[in-house]
Amino acid sequence: MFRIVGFNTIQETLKALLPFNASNLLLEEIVMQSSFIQFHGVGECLFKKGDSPLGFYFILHGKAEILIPGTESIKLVSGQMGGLDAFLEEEKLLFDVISCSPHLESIFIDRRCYEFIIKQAPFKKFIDQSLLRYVGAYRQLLVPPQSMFL
Amino acid sequence: METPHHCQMCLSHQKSTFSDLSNDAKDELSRLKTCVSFRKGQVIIHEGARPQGVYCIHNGKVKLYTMGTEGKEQIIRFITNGELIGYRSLLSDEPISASATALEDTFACYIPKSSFFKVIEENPKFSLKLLKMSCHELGEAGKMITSLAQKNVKERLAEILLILRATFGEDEEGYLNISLTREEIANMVGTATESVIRLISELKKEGYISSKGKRIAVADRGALQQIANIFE
Repeated sequence: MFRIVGFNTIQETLKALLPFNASNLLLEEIVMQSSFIQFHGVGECLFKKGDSPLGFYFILHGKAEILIPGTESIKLVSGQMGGLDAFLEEEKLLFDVISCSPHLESIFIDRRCYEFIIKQAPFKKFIDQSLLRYVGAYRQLLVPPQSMFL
Repeated sequence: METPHHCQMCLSHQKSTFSDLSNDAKDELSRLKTCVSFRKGQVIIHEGARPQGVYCIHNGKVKLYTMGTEGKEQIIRFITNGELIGYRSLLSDEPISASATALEDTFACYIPKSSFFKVIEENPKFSLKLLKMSCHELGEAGKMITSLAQKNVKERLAEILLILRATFGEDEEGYLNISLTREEIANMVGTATESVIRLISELKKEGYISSKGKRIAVADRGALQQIANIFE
């Protein structure tokens, strides 16, 4: 489908998704330093297990999931990040990350862009909170449900 | 500038990778592509990401580069009008091997993976063209490795200036039709910025090039070819 995706569109989407009031100048710089990637179709790979952690995806529109063998997948929606944990640990991806909506739009943030982002305090807090959410999601998969103790 | 809706109306159509496709294939592509614009300095794709399509440059200049361990850029080559970005990673189903950044305001068409593979399946001549392009890039990469390993900095700089001239041509005043910082030239040559500044002054004194700010003109192509040990 013929659709024009411009600089301002990405900037506005990012602004709407961030949980704090980021300045236009800051958003502009992030859009400049990140790369816009679209995924068409369910099951498209954002990351494959073993990929080098050269960056992570910030989801602008659509859904993705982290496929963990033998258990439920971890779902990612707009405003969440795929591959952040491996990126911060500088370890290869442990699991496949795939799209689970027909259309997914994201920006890919590499180390240079990340270094710029974390210099801004609200962004650093946002990244830290996202990481804690990741840890919580993994922990949920490990801890048995409450009902088992009743 | 507007990117044309249909490939047939593209100014870069004649030199485009898709120029030999049938009209039906071009109709299909035009229907499924997305037009994107990039500002000067904006990143188009990142090394390590998994692309889901290719970019065909309608108008602009793009540098392809990788990042070294110290965070230093190594420019591999340039992409100009009609050329594709990302097709090799798509074909090999691997993450992108080099990042791409717009050197000036750039307009491109994004073709999704499914459309691109459909074009390949239905157009054997196009597939052969892609194969030839990959093989050519492999050959150029081999030459670059040899150059980096065996030529000294001055020889590599002379070679790079000739490559820039061949790739981008010259403007009305005879300067290279690309504006690169000294740091970018140093990243291409694989040396420090200070070395490039010193060598450019040296080549200027010897009369082989002239420069005005960031702009460089090749004054004596033959001499640069001799320095670079290139034989035509």
